[in-house]
Amino acid sequence: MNRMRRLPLPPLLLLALLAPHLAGCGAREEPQQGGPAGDGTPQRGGTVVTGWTTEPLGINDLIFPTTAVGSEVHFRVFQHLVEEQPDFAEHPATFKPQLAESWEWSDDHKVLTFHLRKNLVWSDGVPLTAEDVRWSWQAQVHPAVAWDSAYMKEHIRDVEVVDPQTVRFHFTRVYAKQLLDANEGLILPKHAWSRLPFEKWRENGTWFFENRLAAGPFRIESWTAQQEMVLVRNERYWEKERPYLDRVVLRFVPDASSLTTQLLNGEIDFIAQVSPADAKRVRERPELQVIPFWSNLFVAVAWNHSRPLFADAEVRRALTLAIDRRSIVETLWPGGTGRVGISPLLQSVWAHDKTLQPWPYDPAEARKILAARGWKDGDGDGLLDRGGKKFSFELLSNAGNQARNDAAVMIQQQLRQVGIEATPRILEFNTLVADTRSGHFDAAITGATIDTSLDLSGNFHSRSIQDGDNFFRYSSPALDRLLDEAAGQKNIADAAPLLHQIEHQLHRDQPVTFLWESQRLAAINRRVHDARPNLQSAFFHLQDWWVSPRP
Amino acid sequence: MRSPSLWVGAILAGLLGLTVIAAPRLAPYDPDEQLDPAAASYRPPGTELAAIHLTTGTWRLADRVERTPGGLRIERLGRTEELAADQVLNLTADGVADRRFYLVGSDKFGRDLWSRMLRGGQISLTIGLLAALVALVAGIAVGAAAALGGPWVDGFLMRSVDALLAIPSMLLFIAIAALFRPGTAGLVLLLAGGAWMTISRLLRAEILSLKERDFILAARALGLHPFTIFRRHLLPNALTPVLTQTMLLIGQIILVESSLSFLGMGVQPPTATWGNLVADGRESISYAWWIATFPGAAISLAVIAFNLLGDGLRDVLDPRTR
Amino acid sequence: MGLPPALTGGPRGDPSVAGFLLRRLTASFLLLFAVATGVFFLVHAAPGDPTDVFEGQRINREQRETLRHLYGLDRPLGEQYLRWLAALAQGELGLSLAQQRPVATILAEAFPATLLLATGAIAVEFGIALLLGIAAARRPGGYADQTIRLGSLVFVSQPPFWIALMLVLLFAHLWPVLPASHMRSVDADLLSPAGRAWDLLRHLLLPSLALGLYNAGSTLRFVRGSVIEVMGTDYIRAARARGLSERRVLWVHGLRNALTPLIQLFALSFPQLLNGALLTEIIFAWPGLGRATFAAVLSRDYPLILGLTLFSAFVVILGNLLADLLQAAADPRVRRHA
Repeated sequence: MNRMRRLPLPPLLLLALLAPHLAGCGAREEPQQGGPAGDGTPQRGGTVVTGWTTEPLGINDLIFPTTAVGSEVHFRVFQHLVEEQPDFAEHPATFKPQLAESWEWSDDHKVLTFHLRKNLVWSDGVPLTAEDVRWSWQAQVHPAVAWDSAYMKEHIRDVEVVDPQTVRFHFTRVYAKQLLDANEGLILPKHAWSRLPFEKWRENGTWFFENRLAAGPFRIESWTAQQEMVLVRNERYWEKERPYLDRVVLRFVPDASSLTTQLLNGEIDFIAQVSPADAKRVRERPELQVIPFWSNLFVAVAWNHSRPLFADAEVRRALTLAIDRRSIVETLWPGGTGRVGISPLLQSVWAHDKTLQPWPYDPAEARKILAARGWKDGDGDGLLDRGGKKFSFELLSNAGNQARNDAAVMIQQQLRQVGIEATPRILEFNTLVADTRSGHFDAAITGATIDTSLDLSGNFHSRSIQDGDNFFRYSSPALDRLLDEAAGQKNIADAAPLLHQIEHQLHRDQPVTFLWESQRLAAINRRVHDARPNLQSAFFHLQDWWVSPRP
Repeated sequence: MRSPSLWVGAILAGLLGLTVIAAPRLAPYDPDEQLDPAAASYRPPGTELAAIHLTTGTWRLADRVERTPGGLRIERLGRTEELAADQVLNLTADGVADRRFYLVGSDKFGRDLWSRMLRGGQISLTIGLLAALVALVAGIAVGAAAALGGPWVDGFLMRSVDALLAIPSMLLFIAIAALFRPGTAGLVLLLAGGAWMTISRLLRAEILSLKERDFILAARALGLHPFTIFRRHLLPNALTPVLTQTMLLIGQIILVESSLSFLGMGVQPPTATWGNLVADGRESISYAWWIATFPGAAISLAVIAFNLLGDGLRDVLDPRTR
Repeated sequence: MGLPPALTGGPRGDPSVAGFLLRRLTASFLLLFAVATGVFFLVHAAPGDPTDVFEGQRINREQRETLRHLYGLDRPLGEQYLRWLAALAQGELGLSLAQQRPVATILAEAFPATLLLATGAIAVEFGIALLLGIAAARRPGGYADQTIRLGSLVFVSQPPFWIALMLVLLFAHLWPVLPASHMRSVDADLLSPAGRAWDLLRHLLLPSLALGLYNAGSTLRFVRGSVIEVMGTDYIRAARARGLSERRVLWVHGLRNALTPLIQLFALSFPQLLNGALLTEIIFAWPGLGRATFAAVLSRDYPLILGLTLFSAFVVILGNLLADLLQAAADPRVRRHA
């Protein structure tokens, strides 16, 4: 399911919205850190209470902006044809059957056939068939539905129903992400939801809640806005003996620190992400546990290359040298929960070149480089200037993302040491996106998740300046060629050498200054067993969770 | 000493004013300076750290330093580190020459909260006073126009005042602040825009009651120009309650400004204002209580000062309300 | 602070109650209309576009145009305004852009929570104000009076968000006895009705204290003032002359006569209550109008901002009307004609 790419936000900006409560994909330390797993046989029954700082917006994720918690709910209630696994630390991500029990390619690799399981039914007893799959695709690409990920379907010509259990995706071309694109989007109930014409969908957000159904392990029992949502076992779920839990409660508490307090008090069993400071409080309690895993997010300062200030790769490298990234990581991600960023291919991804070292903190060298480029403090005011213009710019970050706003404050101080004036400015997320997209910005701290397909074109290819997420307007023909070649590989494992070359060029050019990669820290009560929060999802395989009775 | 509140208020306000004017001298450190943030982060009030100046130009802060024959042994972030003598610039016979003392604690970046409170006070009080001044001028203009401009003008202006007062001001403030993103000058205007109405009402009522008094009637009979009458006779006589009200308004405006800052919609962080400082401390209230507590107390002290001043003035100048 | 106008200026001129009522209703209606118009144009004058809400998503230009059309944002501003008014006249507040459900539904969900919080806060506010206000009024200028007056001044000078944070610090962190957020515990559904009520009360306590304490100061001063005034009237002197005990005179006769202005003050305190509730709800994650407003403003949800503003203005104007009616009822000239 390739969760992060599914988030309908541009990858490089995506997590600006979700972090620090993001969910993602790909994983290194899955559940092996003695997780609250496996001391005994799973027991049926019981309730798990989970806490979230955001809230789902609606039940139909085609018409609502995605939130981290929203996806967690949608993916438990509806399912995909196949399930992408969080295992891309050592090798490319693999897939497991979900609604489809098997799939195969035509010889020309342009037709993909899925065979659905035989026993699939919606929670109202109506069978789930290939008709639902075709209709879901129609909904995804309908203009009035205006699904924000509809672009992923642009190479799919048709979805054909062969028989109730067989469905064929016809592609217009052959490329690396075909399976991902076919699998994108949840399978929705045609018999129930086609009663509302597509044109009316965006006027009736609540209609879908009133007409809710489920095909996944849980169904939504109730939802009180701003307070809580209750999921209950879907008795008609296809997987035998699952789920174990009777109920899963989602509590919505906007204030992260009171959420942690509720975990400490035993009111809540699970939080998908706690801050490092709160994690310290959690670790002090024997009945609680922190499950860390590296996120698929890299956070970077994006320099606007269309501004003369940042057009020069050497100047950008000087900026990187002048930022004490280790100090930032130690302060904002204490206790080893973060590390200095090197490349968009995260250090927890199989394709990363482990020999690549981050640029050091070296303000003296930075000053030297800048002086060589004519940036000197001519008027003695402590700020560098050149041709009468000061080295001064605005550094944007988005409201609500504490770590990034904090980083801006630290960068401001550090750059001042070398005579550069960076003025932090916090914008609402949507405003930040609007400003950066249109190029009206100097520099911005943004985050991006990487996709298991490891295609970096969306962020760094010059064609993505127009309609992608290369909003910082980096343009390098050499890199474009490498990116195209890597994306053209049918088997992503063959792209490793190309990916290494891409990493090295980005390291030299510093189109953005990579700040950090960080861990997500899930906190859980030990009475909950077999929970495996990971990059794919905090609720990954929620159907396997089980609880010991409350003491 | 007819009114102790007047004196206490005046002394408090005076002290605050002096503190804030002298803030750059009183502040022990640069309010934005982040020395060794990882080590100095979230230190409780009264913490003292040794400051080691390295030859690289950077600083290290340590809980303890011990002079060793080769240089220094420091305890930092729970770990012991050895530093050679030629790495340290401010070495002395028994340690290092510099220390950093956090009177009311440090924040996440190891910045000195006391220095930041002083800086924040400068900004918060300046904005409060400026906004009150603008509100006073606007309020006098509208109030006078309503009282002297005939029934139509009066009706229109006073109904507008009603309409403005009918919207809960905080709602309007955050809507405007979020949608229009005003700068600091815009913020002053916004705050004044939410405060002038009471002044107008008060002044209008005062003028209306004065208008029928003999000395005004006499001035009018003498054929004085209406504006002259207003300037020479009406305004000075109506000013007392207006000034009292303005003192109280300053306090109100400081509260509103800090509330907006607290919501992230006032002066943009990282600029220190008292409201921003409290907002900073909210996140860490469970493990760094001092960050929200002290700046909040400063706001309340400032507002108390102006309210005492206003109350005292009213007691002295306007005995009716006693 | 000076008295609100409705306390000082009553109905003049028209002697009939019906005529007076009609006049006030018309004025209130016009006021509401003015507020609606003002806020509509203010919101639409803001830079940017409501479909910026979708900017964070990867929708293309064509999809965005579809959405603009769907929400009527491609029409001229004047037409949008007239359509909005027409819908409003039929009781339609439109659809929230961010939540894609009717604004009225969101209001209906959030209002009870705010009402409950306001009730709790008013209980705290008036409890303190009456108790201490009357105590202070017994001997104006006395030791107790001085202390209470100073105390009230300190209270009105507190930043409301700070009181809230300090209460959280004290009662949820240092001495964790009360919940610091939300309206109910997770498994409140499983409790007995009494247990549920107790649970709600525990959650209500800190937010109402925070909001109530903030408002108590000014009310306390008002109570003190009106009781002192009443105690000086002939009526009270007569009661004293009849040999009633001072305590009885104060609590029964004095209080009863100070009650009308107090109820008026209450009706006029709605704006302040809503202002405070905004901050309190945000800090305590109380699912009411204030939190909804904050969310609406952050997501530039124009219809929701308009709906919330209009509703708040409606409540405030209703309060004003109520105060006016009370004034009319208490005014002998009006009563004579009734």
